Amino acid sequence: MKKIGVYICHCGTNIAATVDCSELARFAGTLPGVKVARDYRYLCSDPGQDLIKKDIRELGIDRVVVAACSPRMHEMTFKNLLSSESLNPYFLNIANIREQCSWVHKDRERATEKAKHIVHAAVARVSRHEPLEARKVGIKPSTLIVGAGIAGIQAALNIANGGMRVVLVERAPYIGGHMAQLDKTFPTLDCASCIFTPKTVEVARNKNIELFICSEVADVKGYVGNFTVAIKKHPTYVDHRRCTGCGDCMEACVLKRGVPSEFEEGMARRKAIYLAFPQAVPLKAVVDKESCLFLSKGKCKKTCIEACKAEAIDFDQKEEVIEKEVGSIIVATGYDPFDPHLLPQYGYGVSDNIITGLQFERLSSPSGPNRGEILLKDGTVPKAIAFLHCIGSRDENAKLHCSRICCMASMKQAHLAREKTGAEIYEFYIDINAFGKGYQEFYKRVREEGIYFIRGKGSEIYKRDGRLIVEAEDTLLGTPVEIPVDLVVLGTGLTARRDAETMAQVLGISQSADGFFMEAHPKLRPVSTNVDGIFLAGCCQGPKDIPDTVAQASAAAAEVMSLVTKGEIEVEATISSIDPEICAGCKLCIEICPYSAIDFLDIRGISSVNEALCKGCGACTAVCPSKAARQRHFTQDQVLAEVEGLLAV
Amino acid sequence: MKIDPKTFIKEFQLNVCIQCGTCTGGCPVKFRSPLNMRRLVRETFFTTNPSLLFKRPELWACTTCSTCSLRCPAGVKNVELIMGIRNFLANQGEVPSTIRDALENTFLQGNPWGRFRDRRADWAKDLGVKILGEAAAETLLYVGCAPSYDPRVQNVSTALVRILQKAEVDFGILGKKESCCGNEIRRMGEQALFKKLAKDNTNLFKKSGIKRIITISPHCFNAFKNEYPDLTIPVQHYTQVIADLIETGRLRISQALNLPVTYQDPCFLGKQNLVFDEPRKILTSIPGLEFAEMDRSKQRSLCCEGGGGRMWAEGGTEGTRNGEIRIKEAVALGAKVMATACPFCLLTLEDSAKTSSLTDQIVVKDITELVAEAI
Amino acid sequence: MLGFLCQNSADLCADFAGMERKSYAPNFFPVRLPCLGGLDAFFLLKAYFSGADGVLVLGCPPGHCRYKRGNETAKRRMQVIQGLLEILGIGKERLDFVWIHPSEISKLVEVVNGFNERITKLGPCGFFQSEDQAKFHWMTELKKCDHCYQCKEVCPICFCKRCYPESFQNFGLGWLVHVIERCTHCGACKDVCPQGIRLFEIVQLLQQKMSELNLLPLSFPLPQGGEKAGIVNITK
Repeated sequence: MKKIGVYICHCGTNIAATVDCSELARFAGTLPGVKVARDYRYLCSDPGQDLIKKDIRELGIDRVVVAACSPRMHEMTFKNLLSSESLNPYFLNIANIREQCSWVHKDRERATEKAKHIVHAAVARVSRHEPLEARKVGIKPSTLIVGAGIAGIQAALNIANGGMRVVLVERAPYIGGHMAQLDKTFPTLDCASCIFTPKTVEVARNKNIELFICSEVADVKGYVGNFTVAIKKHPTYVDHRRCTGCGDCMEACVLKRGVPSEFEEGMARRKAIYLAFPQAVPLKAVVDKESCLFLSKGKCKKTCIEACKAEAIDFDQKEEVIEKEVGSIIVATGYDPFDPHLLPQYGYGVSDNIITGLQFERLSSPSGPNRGEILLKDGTVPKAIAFLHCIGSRDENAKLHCSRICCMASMKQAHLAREKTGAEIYEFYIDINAFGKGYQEFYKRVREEGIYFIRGKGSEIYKRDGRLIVEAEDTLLGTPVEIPVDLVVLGTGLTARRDAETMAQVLGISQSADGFFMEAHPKLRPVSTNVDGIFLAGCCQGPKDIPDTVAQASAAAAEVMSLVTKGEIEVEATISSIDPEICAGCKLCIEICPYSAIDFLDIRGISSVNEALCKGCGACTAVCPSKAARQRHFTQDQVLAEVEGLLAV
Repeated sequence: MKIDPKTFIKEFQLNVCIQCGTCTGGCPVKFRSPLNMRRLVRETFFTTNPSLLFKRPELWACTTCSTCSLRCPAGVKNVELIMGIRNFLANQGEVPSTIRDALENTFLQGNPWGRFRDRRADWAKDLGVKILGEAAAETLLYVGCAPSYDPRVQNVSTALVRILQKAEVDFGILGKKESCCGNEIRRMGEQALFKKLAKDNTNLFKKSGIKRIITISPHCFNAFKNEYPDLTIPVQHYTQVIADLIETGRLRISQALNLPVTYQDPCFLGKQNLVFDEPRKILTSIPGLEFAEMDRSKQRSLCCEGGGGRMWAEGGTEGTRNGEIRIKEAVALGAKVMATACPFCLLTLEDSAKTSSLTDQIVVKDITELVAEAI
Repeated sequence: MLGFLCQNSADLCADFAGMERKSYAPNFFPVRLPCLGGLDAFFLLKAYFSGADGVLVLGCPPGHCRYKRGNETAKRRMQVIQGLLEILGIGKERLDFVWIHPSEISKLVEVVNGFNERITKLGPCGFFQSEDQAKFHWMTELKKCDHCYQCKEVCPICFCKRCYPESFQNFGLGWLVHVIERCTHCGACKDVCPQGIRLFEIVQLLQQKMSELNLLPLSFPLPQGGEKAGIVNITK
């Protein structure tokens, strides 16, 4: 005879304000199999838990229904409670009467009515629960880090220096991501390359880090602790073991004008065979097969091969797919800048000298096309420069989110521009987001330098008499303005990568409404995802500055290292099994299983589930005509009882 | 019908405004009148005396180009607020006298200039054009008020008729039965009259059995396409039609026009309805025509100040007219022809060429006139 | 209304909706499943039997299923059940299937409220209860089933050792769902039913509905014109 204990949580007033908990408890007490039904203010608290434990010991309660918040909150808490009282933790059923009841319904009567239905169903279901053993799986000690920007690099170093192995995969020919493109960073005005070169060099040198450049993660299979990833290595047509990074090939390349350089954000051009930039790590030449005359058209003298003293160029290189087995994955794929072509009122791409923030960084950078001088397209020094904030951010016509760092970036760029050119500088802003350590102080410094702050978003840019006119309103004075400048820097925001959706599908993680990858909980689990074993670091999760990126990367590394140190993890026991007595061997389950986790046993003529591969999706159970296949904890009996319980009160 | 200004807050989303000033910054009359859209939104939100607030003459300077609404990052319905305020004023009888006359004329004679209804189709009497009702046709050429009555714009109507006849398009006009589309009426604040015009016109179109409507004015195009609630018949602006006729080979451009030409994107065709390519396709298909693009083109095109009832507004603005700025911009570009696709742009720019004394350097012509010369 | 929500998208989204204190119809009762791929046709039928006036199925959009294709398999299954509901006279509007991302909170609220409006307009469902012969004549016939299992005995594609529909509320209805994807049109069941239930006809009707919806059969090729198809691995 089952002895079910039903516990209704008030959750302070979160549930009790809308659902009549004592009435609910009274109702629960009348249900078949229920030995005791109580309501309490905070069941998750120690006294609350003690209440349940007491009933288990004294009344012999052997199945527990907790009607409270979402199981995502406290399922673990109460499962542990049951285990501590020597009850199988799967004899627990959590009824969600908060997120999916009291918080979404206003009418007290109807919310209580619904809660009754939910509890009725929960009791019916729990009486059919079976004892299950959680599976423990081992955690493979190596980690895959996708993306080698500052986030990926930081996480890689944390983990590698902890003695664990890292596979670091980067799409570009160099590591460092967007940070490598920056000139000086706010608010300290540290040179970006100077501060991170030690890190990139260490990555290249660290024996625990296996670096793949010009590579992408093509496929991920498996589950936490046991992922198999397929890394697609694109051919660089240069043997990096021989290449010395001397650059002779670039000089020799027949393409006179070359193509726009991605690293220089189109502000300079590169050849078909190229070194990304002089301080690149690794400093190895790569060939871009689209612009290379030999690879795209088959016609070239191949002067590069002649020039290469190391004989490193190899046009026969092919794409490789390398499989790695890792225990956890950190996604650190970064951001894409907003494309200002999408806001035609700014004339980007129509007129010269209208550039993005990243393009300004390249101009200002000593390794950039102008050796750090801020010059217009015709080579002259600008006498007036405008910085427009919120281009593509906080905008119903573009992206709704604030990109967090552009205010500071604009101000830093204004300071650099002022220093280098002495020009009149105008910052067109709506609000100043100077939230971090030293940021407000930097804002003051920039004002002290005489840079004009005009509170009004730049509405349009047009050309008149050879100058660029910024149209806006000085909203503090209440007068419209048209300010003639020579150079306009658009404070373009940070958006999710163009291929974020594809990446999310490959990994099985979700995206938030703004396109960035979704964290498991916005406040309490900012580096985890809804997939165990996959973590997020850096701007791929949302716009942030370098200090926050580094902090988040270390946090992700800590999560990974915690997994590896433990060595094993409990995974859901809710996988499928096939009853050999009932199975008729029709193989429908084998056909439908997405993980090929079902084997056919020829001798016996029946199918059998491979427990190591099964992920518990239930597809086989739904398709099995005789229901020989059943998913533990989601059996026909249990779900049908829940369905019936919800409706037939 | 009493209108409570307090409803404006919800209706036009005034509470989402972050006071960024994009609206005022992009307003084409920001230097021509004290109109400050951003401040108006805030004042409307907080006012306890809307009648006093709304009685400002600068509210009639707005051309309803809609740049403010289109660019607003917060989603405030700026230009709709202006129309709402004008509606409030019209209901109290507090509109400028010239606007009042235009509205009354439309009510009585079906056009804001008060010309006789019966004479609406006189311009077409010798052109061999079908009058719907007497004959049937697939397409309605909806002429519009300015193209029917204004002598300068009648050239546009005539040119278009010639083009459509040459391309053997089966079309007819409504003749005397045609009434104002109501686009400007609505923008001058007469919602009730607009609703009536919309209803009557929709019924008229349905009864005539036509399958497609072509308009000459982008204002009519906008009204039929976006603001008539029950009109399901597809509507096109003539530039879309001519571009298609050229592309499918039904209209052959045989003569060359060796001229440098630039083009003014009309607000109601361009930035509001995103028809940018078709006019350019037409112009560049004329042999010998050198097309030069002004910097302020497409979404950045400078409003000619003809819309929003400004054709019937007296004074209230000062300084250099936008039309003159445009003409000067075109001349500086080296253009000898300023091409337009809107009767109001045509009239205001031609006028501006005169007041700038640049008529010897540039002429303003509608695209239909250029095409008619080239076929 | 009963809702089947997949754990990774719809159920998560519903939790988020709660966190943001959104409001939707209180007669929406959710059931959480790990993946819609595990959503059995029998769960759906049970819902109607138990008194649901409408069933809403919510899950990950195509390409986003955590378990690869569960959502698309489920959609297909829904379409078959919708076809069945049409034939039974219940109407396919009482079953709806919506893709939802975990972050689409407003969409969830809209969908639930919209579905509630629709069901309220349609009125109570009365599945398998109505005596209205004209409208629900198929249901009336199926109700007559007295679980003699003759049809099952003669059917070549039911090779279950223990046939699941036997334990279902109404064997006839359960049987339909059991064989629909695999029926070979052999006609053996035509005249064996002592109650005169025209099983053959209704299966054909349902298969016709499926081809109208362009649903290819799950595993076996549907034969043309009544021949027995070559079926793999019969252990009967």
